[in-house]
Amino acid sequence: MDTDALKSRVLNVFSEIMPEVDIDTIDMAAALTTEYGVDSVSIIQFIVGLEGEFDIEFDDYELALGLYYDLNDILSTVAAKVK
Amino acid sequence: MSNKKILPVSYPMITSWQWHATLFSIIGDDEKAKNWIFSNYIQLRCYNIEEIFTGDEMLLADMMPGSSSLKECPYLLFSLMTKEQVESYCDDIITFIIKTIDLGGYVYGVFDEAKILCDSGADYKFPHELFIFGYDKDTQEFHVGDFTFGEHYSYTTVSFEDVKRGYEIITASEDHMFKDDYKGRRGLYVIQKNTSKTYYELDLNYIKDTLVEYLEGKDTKNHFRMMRNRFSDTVFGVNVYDAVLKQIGIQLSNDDPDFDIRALHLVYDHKVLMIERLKYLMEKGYLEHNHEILDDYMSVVNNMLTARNLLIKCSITGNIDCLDRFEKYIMEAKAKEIEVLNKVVELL
Repeated sequence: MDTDALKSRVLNVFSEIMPEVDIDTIDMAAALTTEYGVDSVSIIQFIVGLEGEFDIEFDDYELALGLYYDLNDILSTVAAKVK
Repeated sequence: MSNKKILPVSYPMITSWQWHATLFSIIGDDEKAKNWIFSNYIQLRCYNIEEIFTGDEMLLADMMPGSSSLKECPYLLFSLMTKEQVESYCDDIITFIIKTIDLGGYVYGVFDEAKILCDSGADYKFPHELFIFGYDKDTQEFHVGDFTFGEHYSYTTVSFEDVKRGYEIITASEDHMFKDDYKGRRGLYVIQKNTSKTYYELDLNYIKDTLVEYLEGKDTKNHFRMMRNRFSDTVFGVNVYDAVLKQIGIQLSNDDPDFDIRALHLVYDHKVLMIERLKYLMEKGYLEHNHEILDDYMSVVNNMLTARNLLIKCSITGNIDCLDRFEKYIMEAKAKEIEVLNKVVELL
């Protein structure tokens, strides 16, 4: 899957979890917590959404918010699992 | 007098219960207060109680000192105000809170957060402690800290009128904060910072003794009989791990599974505070710097974080077929913590 398509699907899932975020102007390098209000619960909602979208599985230890600074971190984690 | 005043707060290191989040919001970053903070919050206890709002059985876990910490911490000036006092000093609760904040006092009390603060259509009450640390007369709002307004502890604003309604609708019997203290009254706590001098030195002997009690799972309720002697069957120290695991098994096996994470989150917060204690003891020279101890203890923190997150994931997916994974994370954390803290006790 090419990176743009992957990114688009990741952002679609993100927009379902954080509907108040404008996906068109999103900054992939902005801090998830301070810029987009992602917390320890919404990151897990996001991950569960990604697992369903891509038919992948995150390990239990990968549910920790502290592992992901920005959406690029999420994107690279998903990319590695999709491969 | 300015139309706006916000007393200093910093996002708390631990949040499990409102009393901990409040205390750590006020003095969690204060260097002098760390002497007291890191000398305490070592012993864990838990017991089953009836949930205040639902009537369901829940496992209440807490670190000592528990909810009485706001009264007992030497780095806080604590005043207990009955409703009658509040009404006598000021005509209404809004004026009382504003005047208190102007004098540097934080306000803490039980308010109805259901139909008053969160959902005006609710036909039930949700009495909960609210922490108030600022006001803005222009917007007619108080600055507050609570769990009710999001999925985790957060600072936000609530209108003057909502706070007034939320206060007035709660009866004495619903004010569990005062009821717990046997007062049978209604009222508020006024809390001020008291950090200009060192009132409590780091108590290394006490830390060591309490660590031993924690590791032995020793029943320490007799330490607190001077304050209260109503005790339920209580589990102490490292045995809390087993009680939490058992409770998760019960919760997940219910016909209607219960995903209450409070006990698990409390135990996780206990680990967060413990590793900060170890770093502090090393930084101040009470304990020789030891990377192995910190790395090993970090695995305890991570195992408990993983267990907590797994329960959150179960609540989202509905997949409850993972008790063996909870057992792995919780029991690994317990074994490693006993190993590391025994080493720490030897070194202290």
